[in-house]
Amino acid sequence: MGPPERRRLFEEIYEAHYSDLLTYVWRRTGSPDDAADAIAETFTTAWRRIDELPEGRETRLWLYGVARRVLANQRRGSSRRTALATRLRAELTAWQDPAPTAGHDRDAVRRAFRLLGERDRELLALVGWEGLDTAEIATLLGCSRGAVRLRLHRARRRLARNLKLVGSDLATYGVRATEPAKGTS
Amino acid sequence: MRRDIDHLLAGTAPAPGPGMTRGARELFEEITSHAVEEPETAGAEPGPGSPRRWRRWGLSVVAALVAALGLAGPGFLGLGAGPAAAALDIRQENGFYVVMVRDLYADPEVYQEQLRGLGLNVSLRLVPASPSLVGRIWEGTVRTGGEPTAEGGRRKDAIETIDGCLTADFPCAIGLRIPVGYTKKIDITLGRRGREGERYTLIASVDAPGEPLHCTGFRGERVDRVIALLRSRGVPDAVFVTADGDRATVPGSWYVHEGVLRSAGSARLLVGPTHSRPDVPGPRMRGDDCVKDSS
Repeated sequence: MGPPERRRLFEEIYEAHYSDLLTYVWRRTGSPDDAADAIAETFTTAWRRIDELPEGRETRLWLYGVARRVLANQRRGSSRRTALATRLRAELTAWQDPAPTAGHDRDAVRRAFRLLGERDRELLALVGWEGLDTAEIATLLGCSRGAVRLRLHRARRRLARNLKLVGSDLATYGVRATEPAKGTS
Repeated sequence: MRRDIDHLLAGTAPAPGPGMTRGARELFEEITSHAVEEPETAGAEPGPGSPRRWRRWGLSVVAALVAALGLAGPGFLGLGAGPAAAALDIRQENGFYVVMVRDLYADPEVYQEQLRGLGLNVSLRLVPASPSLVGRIWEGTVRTGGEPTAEGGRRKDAIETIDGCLTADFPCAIGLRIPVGYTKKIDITLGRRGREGERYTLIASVDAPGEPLHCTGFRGERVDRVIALLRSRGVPDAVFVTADGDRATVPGSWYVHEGVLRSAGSARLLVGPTHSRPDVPGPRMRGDDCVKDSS
């Protein structure tokens, strides 16, 4: 693939997935600087590896996988500030994140969610926020579908337990949620 | 049933980020200004999940940062022109080139080069325009000496502007749709927002839709009241045109007959001591046909 074709392919990928990836990192970082660094590093990786990127639906999963590791490096304090994305950093700083939808139920779910461990949170967020299915998560995490199903089931059960801990009426949702999986876990 | 708890969780998703912004497009240019690693080197590495790959990537990022700082140093510090970037964003859609202007202040030759690259013989020039005319398109060269009006010249053929720029809200994305295969030679002038203090080349009546005094009934009002109206709408300065020439100040009891914005924050008002419009050279700026619902 020559340089013009690479650029065209990358542009298609960038156009198709930038918003999803920004949403992914935005939801998992507390700061515009971290989000800008993560998105810049993720797509810089994609550009450098453009000849290796999987096609079709797996492109997005591949990008999520890179972003996930970039964010993990940030949490370990081992990532660097990038010189890229200067304007993007300013835009994200200025962008007003809409206030989360209020409501007793949602607040309870948020509290219960925050009580989970990082791995549970990430799994449940991939389903509830990014809308990924079991097979996609398995591809993203590099494990079997069965393992993802089991881990998801346990994460949901722990979320249901936490809902009880925060005194939410919604704990009944959690109980119901775990019932069908009892026989399979 | 599992979907119940997933559904609950979906309702708590933090808002998505701001999406594809100018900064995102600039990042694209920054990233692609660096060469792609050669496949034989890249191919020797394992997939994205491998620790070995990530140790290697750590070194690569350092190299990339050094390169970026070396290339874009002054721009990064806000002292220079910044990384080279395309002035226009061009994509093909349903038989049209959708041309969005990314850099409002680029040298016209930069626009030309990109358009020529598509085989289009289109000459594009951007000029500072009053708010209601940002994003509007004119054929040919707009008269520059003095303060020309925005009358006429709108195209009727297949070249169209991108919708969504007819309000005074900024920033306003501006662009064109040009049919793929368009072969005629054509000069296009597009209104852009002005820099601070920059005189507008495209001027509209100050009460036209999208302008600060739309639907205010300012014509025939006293100077004091109109000045107050302008200030309340973010236009702190005004100069006056009278039958005897331009003046910096006039009595507040005089009457205002017409007006335009001459730059962001500065108006030019035609005034006189009576209700009769002074006889001054130049075109009349027509009334605003105020329709409250459309303002």
